[in-house]
Amino acid sequence: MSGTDSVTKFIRDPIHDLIRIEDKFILQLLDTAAMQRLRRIRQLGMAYLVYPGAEHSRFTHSLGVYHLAGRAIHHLNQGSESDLFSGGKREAILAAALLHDVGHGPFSHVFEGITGGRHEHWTLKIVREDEDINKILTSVSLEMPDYTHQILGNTYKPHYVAALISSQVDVDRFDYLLRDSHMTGAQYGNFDLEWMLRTLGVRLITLPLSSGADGIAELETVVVDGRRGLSGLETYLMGRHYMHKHVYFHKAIRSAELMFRKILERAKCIRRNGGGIRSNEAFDRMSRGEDPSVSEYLSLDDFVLFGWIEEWSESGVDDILSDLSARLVGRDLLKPIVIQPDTPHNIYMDNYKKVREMVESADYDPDYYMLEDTVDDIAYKGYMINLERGKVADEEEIWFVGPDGKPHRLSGKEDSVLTQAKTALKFEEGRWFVPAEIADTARDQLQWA
Amino acid sequence: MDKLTRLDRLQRLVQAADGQVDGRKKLHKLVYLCQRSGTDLGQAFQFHMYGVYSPSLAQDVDAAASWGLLEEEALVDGSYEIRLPQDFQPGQFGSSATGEDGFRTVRELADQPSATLEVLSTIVYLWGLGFRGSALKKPLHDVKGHLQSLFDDAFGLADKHFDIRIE
Repeated sequence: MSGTDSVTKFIRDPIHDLIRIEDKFILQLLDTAAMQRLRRIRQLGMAYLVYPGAEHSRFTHSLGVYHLAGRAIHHLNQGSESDLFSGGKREAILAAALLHDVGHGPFSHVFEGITGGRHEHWTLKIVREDEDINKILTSVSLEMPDYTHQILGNTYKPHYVAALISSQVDVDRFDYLLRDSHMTGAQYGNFDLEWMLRTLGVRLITLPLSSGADGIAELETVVVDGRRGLSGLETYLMGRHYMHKHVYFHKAIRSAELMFRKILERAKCIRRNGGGIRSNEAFDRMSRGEDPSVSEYLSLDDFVLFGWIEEWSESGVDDILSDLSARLVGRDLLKPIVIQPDTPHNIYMDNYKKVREMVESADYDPDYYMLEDTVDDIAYKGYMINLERGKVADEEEIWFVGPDGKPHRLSGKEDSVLTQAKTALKFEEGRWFVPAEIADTARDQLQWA
Repeated sequence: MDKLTRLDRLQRLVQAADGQVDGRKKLHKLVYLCQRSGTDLGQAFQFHMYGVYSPSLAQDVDAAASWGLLEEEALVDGSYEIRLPQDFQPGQFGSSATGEDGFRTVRELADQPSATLEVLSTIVYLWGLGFRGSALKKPLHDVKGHLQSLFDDAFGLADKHFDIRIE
């Protein structure tokens, strides 16, 4: 049986109810070791320490994105005179949707920065180099590996194919908002999915070329029908904003994530110097500043890493490693000092130095016990953060079709509730996480104006 | 990488570009090429319609401007000129020593037109994805075909600065 054969299989899902799989190659991709590994990687990293229900995995999210990509293809084709996804585009986008997170490391985004590459880098590497995945994609067509690779690298033309899974209004965000809301119990991310899918369309947008060249650039991309879908779009973006504020940028979750990173940094340093702590070949390569092979990288997941951290907490090889590991295992997290928004540079610098001195005076190493967190560092950035700052780059713009039938920038719509509310929705700037006894003192002593 | 280190290195990049970069899009290309030359500026890039782009860099430029660490001037054509302030002091944040290779690349590429850097950074990006030879030319034509007149210049720069050769 080849990858192009059809099958019908249903999978139960808490968000989309029944996910129907009709292509044999999708089932084959699901069965690869690389995809099965995603069952052992939590979608929301350390969020389960705050929201106990947030135990869902990258595997369930990937299935959800695959499902929504199929539904979006259906709706976009209904609004088009021709098949927008002919010539292998349908199969390629479905494969890319399913595989888009296959490169995530343990605890999802938390692991980025440890390997020297973002998860997108590893996704592309795995899709290109994993023999099983390559064989399955090639069984669909000889071009399929390249098509899938280009969609995931955002270089596929026409652009709307890649935009469907990677843009400000895409099925990746649709699924994670609904899924994360449901699983955390924080309902902020709910929006009218059915209506949103029905208001998506494809339009050709013309933009100026970058400076130094004459002419125009044409972008065929996904747009929202503003005549029917503007309220749905606003609800979706507000939901994203509140999920950033209350889940993705939650102080205890961020503290745990930054501690996890520091633990791995410390462990890498120890392994680089030949220290005897539990590790494997992939981690040792990373410790030496080398890229692990794809198969070595795929040996790492949440279970493996957390097992090591439990061991490191009792190893006694290094005090900082043991202490930070024990704190994470016991959920004894570093506490936040909130950096006030719009703090002038000189005050920020003064406070930064004061907190660092407090940490050092208490016999902690500030490189490991003063952890900086800024809104710029979170994985899921919100459109509203850019809107509030008054600058939405062309690359991050959302386009809607207005009553005149033409595409317009959402950031330029002055009477939108988003534009009107941007000041009220301001994010805090960031925090420094320090041991609890220092946080209490610092909060009393620091001046922010 | 913490914020102060990122902003310090961003200032050093603008300094390497002779104190001024014409346009935000050009700045993104220079930062990307600097990082690909081995000097980490703490920015994560994605590929967009104008080539490589970093949401985190866009936010750092805003932060640097609001703190007076960089000056941004809006020009009549809608673009921005980004330059160091007159009271710029190198190394004012202290501890951000890093390799110089990337800044050297920036010094040598800063005079190139933005559009040429857009093609060059796309070639470097595609090379990083594993595309080689004619397999690289196809997606390059797909995404940057409208800038085809600049391909020869960009391939020459890719060869000179990144050892990227297309047979």
